[in-house]
Amino acid sequence: MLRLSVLRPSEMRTLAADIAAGRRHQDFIEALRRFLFSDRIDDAATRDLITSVAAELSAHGVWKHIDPAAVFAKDVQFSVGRVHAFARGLPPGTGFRFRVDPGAQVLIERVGSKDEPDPYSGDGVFDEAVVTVTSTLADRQVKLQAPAFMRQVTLATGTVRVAAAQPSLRPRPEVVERIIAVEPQASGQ
Amino acid sequence: MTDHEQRLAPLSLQLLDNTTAPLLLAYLSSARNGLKIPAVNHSVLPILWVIDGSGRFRFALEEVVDITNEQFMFPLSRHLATPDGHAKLGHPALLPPDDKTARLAGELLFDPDFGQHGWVISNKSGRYGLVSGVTRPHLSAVVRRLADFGIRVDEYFLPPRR
Repeated sequence: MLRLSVLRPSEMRTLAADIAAGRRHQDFIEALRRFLFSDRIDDAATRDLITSVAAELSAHGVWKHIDPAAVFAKDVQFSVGRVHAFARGLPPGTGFRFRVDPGAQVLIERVGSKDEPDPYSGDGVFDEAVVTVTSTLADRQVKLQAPAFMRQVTLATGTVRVAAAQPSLRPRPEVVERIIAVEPQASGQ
Repeated sequence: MTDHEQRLAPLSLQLLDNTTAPLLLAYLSSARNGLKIPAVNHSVLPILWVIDGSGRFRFALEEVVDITNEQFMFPLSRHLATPDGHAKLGHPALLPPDDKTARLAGELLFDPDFGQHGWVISNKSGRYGLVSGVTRPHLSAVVRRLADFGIRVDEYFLPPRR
């Protein structure tokens, strides 16, 4: 079973070559799904590892061959904190944005703008990073802040899950944050 | 950074200098001399390294402590998650409690299939190695620093996220 967290550099290189050649796509997708879910709150070193693996995959150009939509499929559960950590290792100006259905969308984004100091710079403030969860449901607006390491974020409508029905990968050069849209449970299933 | 990473340091932490460099070289070489036991150990136990604010090379195993008594428990295999009730001491723990700034950090891992030297050095650290401004020459400088002590490693640079 492929485990992304333990691949040595040579193994990562081989995996990337296989993916580029059209092999092991489903294997990789399932491994990434496992990697992005945890039933516990990760410590800083583990989140560090998650970000590093994302950067490593990006360095090997994996996203040229893997459709994020296939990873973030509907009914696959992810840990918000893990997805957030993973997104921080993705290439600049890109983000996973998933629109579940018209009028029902939740965004998780990093607080701050590109004019502010990078809260993730290597000075230890990583743990104090905050995500903003904004529900853009047509009939109301919900906004809260939660520590980035929270495994799940709960809104009034239920537990937030990552889901995707019409995903797209959009460049967002004007903002620092990588945006992940998630679906409030009550509006989905 | 966890509170443990702020206050605790790995038991294996050392600075690279004229005394420790030959010892580190011997440790790394043990994976390449034909004995399989160290080769297996080294392939699952990465060495964390940090260049601190003063430019010194610090290195240690990634260790786990019991959070109830803050005592060292074991070095963490790459294949295992941190058990409940324990804390992993990542890169910040290699730095002094009063100064957690670093120029660069990453891992040193035995991977004989990667390059020429068996050991691979990377900037694989989300908090110090993959931050804005880090470039390949920075990692190359670390490789040269090690080479000054006779320690030859292969370079595995990961571009920072922006």
